[in-house]
Amino acid sequence: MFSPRVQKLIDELSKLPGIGPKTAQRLTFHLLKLPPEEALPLAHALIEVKETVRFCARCFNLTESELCSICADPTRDRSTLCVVEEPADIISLERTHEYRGLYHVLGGALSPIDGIGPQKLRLAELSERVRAEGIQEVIVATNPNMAGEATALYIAEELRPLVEAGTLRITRPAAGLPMGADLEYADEVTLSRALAGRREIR
Amino acid sequence: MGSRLFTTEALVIGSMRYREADRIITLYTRDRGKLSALAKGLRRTTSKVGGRLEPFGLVRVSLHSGRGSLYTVTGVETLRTFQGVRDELFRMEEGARLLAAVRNLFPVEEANPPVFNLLVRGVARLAGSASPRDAACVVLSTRLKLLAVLGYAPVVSGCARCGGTESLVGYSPELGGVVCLDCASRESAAYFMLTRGALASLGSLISNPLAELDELEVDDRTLAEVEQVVTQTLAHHGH
Repeated sequence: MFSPRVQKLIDELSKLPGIGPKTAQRLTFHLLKLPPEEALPLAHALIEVKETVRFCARCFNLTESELCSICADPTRDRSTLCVVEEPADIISLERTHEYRGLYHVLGGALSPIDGIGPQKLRLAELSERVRAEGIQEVIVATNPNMAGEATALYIAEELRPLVEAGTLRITRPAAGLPMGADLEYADEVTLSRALAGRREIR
Repeated sequence: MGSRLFTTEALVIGSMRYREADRIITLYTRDRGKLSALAKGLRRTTSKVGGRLEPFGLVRVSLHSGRGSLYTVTGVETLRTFQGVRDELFRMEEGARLLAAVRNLFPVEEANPPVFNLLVRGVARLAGSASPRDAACVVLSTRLKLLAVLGYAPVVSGCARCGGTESLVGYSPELGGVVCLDCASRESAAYFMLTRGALASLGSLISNPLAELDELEVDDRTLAEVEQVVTQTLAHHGH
């Protein structure tokens, strides 16, 4: 129906998440209508990002050099390591301005239900880093869902010898009520976690 | 036409990320069997249902049937969280086998209340399992009982081909039961060898109630053999 090159663009766009064939077609025609100076920056940006952005050699965050800006920053606290599933999670945590330590990106979470085992994640690299870099606290900030919980349990098990030797502390961010929410609408699982992790008002 | 909205008890048997913040949840419902439903915005921190639709959760869920075969979740109430399953890695791993069996074995939207009850009892018993071996027994037994509900239970009382009860030596997924030495050597159907212990345990796991499994004495080798029987039987009948 379309010329082969147009069809190719539609096909490529429809591979993107959340983009169906109809939307891909609309985007394609929009791009075709644009003057070159408006359409080509997208192509250049795509090429640039694929050619220059890679994973940080230490924490597997996204970076344009050997180490990411966080690993390369000498003012960060090198005794604390926060484990996250995806690079996007680092952005969320950085926005809090509460955390000054380093990160480790797993690239996903263990999911027995979906057949995602430890070897598909950067768990061996984590163990090695914790031992080699003399980390004193590991904060397991995987998502509070089943896969994230499974991952947290696995990490705790892997690093147990260090905890027993008294050289490492493993923690998990508190689970609780979102700020600004009504107690009335909280789900039971979150609410019971929030109660279990309650703390004294000073 | 009846109402397009209905409410039923359901166990969450699967969950898949969908679009930006949604999930597609697979449920085994008491009233309509297995079905999938879209839970919109579930992954956002402001979602009211996020914590309620985690795998292994028992819920009362309101579903709206929209276009196509996919339902939309409009309300969820937790009945049991079975948090115990999620507190230990070994329970989660065994539980994953049970949920996978349910996902693969049953057709979409075919109500089967005995299956629902069995599944809930199995998950409840798993949540309180004491050891990896206990958890493995619970899940093997539940999977065998699910096969039994469908009429696919492995025949263990005698040879699946000749009915003889002497020198039973192996298991044939194709014949759906144990086979004796004579039939095994004559029969062209594939089979694999079973130890005496595995044969006995297989029978007990099918017929003993879930609550009495802790009295069963099995070793890891026996469990591995029974696992093979269950896996291959499920593979033979899975959809």
